Amino acid sequence: MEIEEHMGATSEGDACVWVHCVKELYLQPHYFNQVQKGVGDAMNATINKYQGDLAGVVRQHKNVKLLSVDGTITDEESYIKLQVEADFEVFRPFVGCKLKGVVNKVSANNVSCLVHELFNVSCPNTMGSDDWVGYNAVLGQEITCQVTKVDLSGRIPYIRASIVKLHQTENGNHKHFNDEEEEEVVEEEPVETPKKKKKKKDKSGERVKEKKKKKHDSEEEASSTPKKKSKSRREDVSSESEVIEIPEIDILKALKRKRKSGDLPDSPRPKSKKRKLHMNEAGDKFYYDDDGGPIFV
Amino acid sequence: MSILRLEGTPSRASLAGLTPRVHFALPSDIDSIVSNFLTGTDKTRYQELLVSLKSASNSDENLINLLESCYTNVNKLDERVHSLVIAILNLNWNSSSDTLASKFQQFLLELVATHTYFTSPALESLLRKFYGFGDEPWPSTKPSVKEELHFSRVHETINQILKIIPMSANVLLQACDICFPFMKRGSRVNQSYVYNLFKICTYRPEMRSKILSLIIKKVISIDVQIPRKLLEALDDDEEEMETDAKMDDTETVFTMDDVSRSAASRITSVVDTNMQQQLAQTLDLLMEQIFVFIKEFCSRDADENEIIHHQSIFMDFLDIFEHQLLNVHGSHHVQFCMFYLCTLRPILPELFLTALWSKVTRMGENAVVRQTAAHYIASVVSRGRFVSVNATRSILQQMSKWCHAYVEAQQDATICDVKMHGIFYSVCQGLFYIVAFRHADLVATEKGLKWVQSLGLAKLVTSRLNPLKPCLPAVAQNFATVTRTYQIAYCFTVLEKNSRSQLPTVSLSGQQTVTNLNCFFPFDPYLLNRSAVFVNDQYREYEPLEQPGDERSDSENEETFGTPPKESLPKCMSPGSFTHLVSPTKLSRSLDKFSYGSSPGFKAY
Repeated sequence: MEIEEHMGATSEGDACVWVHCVKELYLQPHYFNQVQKGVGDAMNATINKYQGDLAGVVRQHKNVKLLSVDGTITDEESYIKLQVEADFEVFRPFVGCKLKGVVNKVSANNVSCLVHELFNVSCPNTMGSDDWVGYNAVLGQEITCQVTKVDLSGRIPYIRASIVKLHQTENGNHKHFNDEEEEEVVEEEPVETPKKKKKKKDKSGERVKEKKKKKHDSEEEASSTPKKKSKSRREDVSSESEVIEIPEIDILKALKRKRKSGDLPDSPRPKSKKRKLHMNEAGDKFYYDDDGGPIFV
Repeated sequence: MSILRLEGTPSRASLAGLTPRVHFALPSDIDSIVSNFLTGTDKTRYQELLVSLKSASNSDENLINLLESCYTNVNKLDERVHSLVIAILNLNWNSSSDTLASKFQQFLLELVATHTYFTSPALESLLRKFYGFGDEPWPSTKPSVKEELHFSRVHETINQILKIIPMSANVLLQACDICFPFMKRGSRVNQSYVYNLFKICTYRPEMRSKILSLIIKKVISIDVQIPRKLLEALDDDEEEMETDAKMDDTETVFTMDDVSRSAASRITSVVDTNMQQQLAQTLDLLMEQIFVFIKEFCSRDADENEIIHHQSIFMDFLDIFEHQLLNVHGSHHVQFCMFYLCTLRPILPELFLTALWSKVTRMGENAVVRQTAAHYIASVVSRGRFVSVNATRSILQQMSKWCHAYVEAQQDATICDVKMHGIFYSVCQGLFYIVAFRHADLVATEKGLKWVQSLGLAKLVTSRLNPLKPCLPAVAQNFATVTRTYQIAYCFTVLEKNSRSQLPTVSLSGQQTVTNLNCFFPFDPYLLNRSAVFVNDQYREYEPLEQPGDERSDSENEETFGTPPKESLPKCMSPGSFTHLVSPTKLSRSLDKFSYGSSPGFKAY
């Protein structure tokens, strides 16, 4: 049923993968005359929630397409079942993988950090050793850890890890963990930027298309009546085209980032746009400046 | 279970100094207890610890020691010792000393940061602290200083948990719902809980709309439990009821031998009314909390942000209104939160009316919702002092325009079918109701009179759809009187014809079909004593047309009850003789009161 195709990890240390797959959505009857909104709401409802069929927590999605013209209503169930194809960014940590996070709580035997500013990872001092790395951790510090236990199925995912490395910032003063957003952006930049540009273009193109389609759809829906087909009734969702393009719903997030970069012109973000980050054996990041010399981040 | 096996029991002397009670010292070596329990070597000590934690007679000192040892061994307290963690979470810590409270907070934060799956029980245990202590409602809208301190500690802890675990916001919302006290649990508990939920909104503004929606949902469920008649009866016969209850008590004492069925039913009815009385008190207190929240929220920073502030809270409530209140049947008081919001700024009633009107005219909307929206428009324009004359005019203009367009479109229609044209009749009734209610404002000037004449009410009244027929008789009568006085339209011939042609219709099922509109006047007088102060300033009572020689005796009024008979028609021509919908026996009472229920709240003569 599910066609899954890995599109590769987004960047190292965040345990996220892009997955292209077919997903079944169940829409409530009040979406009958606004299928697009229904699909959008149902897709957004998956964000930051564990999805069993994707084996991970969905971070974002894009390129949502309705696969079939019809939605089905089976038996006495009230909802419409729709098949949707989309790309999902799935947070899928596994035992042994490395995660990068920011320390947000330090206590005697435990260091807790946030990955993606959202997922809590706890790094306890399980052995009770005296020379534990975690004793040196400071609030707001960047940290790399290796996952030892994962349970994503709860309402709040549970991840336990052991500390691999504490990253030192250059000046020695650590950023407060409220500011780490910029920090993370720098790392994701080389991979994420080209995609985002594409997205924006796509969006504007799609919107025009949709406006036309919307009109058509609403007219169609108003006239269509439910038909009976053997055991299952079928509800016409749209009749014109086989595929409806649904706009990328993560607009809020994009807006937020946009505003962020606009507000903070001095943030390291524009710089790293052009330059590719490299990493040496020690794990330090650097990029080559115009003269070809390495500059460490 | 032997108490002698507990290790580390302090000497009698040290215990004796604390309280006269006997305390069993809690063990401080959580580490070994838990590991022994997990390996299976010694399970009894673990069970003993559980029992002593639940016994609720532990001294502060013992608890502090226990929490400290838990704090250092928090890594070991995982899901395998779930019951121990739950027992610790349910400890009664907030009423005790400051040190204990801070230790508990420290432990709680450490626990949720290490084991995220305990976030939900931790938050639930915190939310249960919001029930407060005591049974009597607070005399003012705020808790006592001691309780406030107790609450502020809990709030601080919740806030920190939310900061450490960003994903816990949804968990908190769910926990708020789970922990919401049952409506019959007592007014104090509900008041205290709602007060604290509003507190959460102040430091977590992003959760505000969802928390508000939860609160309104719960308040609605209380509101629909209390019939309006009961509240009226409560207002009037409070003392009478009390004596009645006493009489019943004595009766039951003496007739124990053969309890007649009537006596038993009387007792249950008294119990029921007592229950509903209590519910009414709960509702009163909760409505008060809602009003206070709105008031405080809007006055928090009263500078340049004021407008944005007001609008944001208004939009939150409007959203809740559209999703919840518009779909509710039989609520009497919750909708007054919208009424109160509208009093804040002159722009807000206009926004409210626009939203309602767009609901009425939206084709895709459910017919019931559209009708309810029309009723809301009629009621808010008539009852709210904050609705300016201009706003009234503009909404009347829109309504009459829509009605005329409807009549144009339905020229083939010959019969008055409430089911088919329900929305049209609702809008028309709203139109008549507003005109009858606000005639004084509308025709204050000559220009105003001309404007009312330009609405084309006469044409509407005499149209083939006959909008006066399904209208509530009181509305139709009053409208007829007002329009006759100002020579806007002449309705009495139509009314007479309608009353003559009204035949009892019987459907196949044997029940009489409804020929009247399903009437609903959401802003009928507010009957809750404590919270009424927020509403009364801006509430418009009905001011009848005053004309000499309208005095009528009660018997004559009784005659006109229901559909006016033919011979009483001349009496109907005067404004004083419109029908009473309350039963004739209650007429004497309704002389100085409003008539409620299905009536529009016109003043009775």
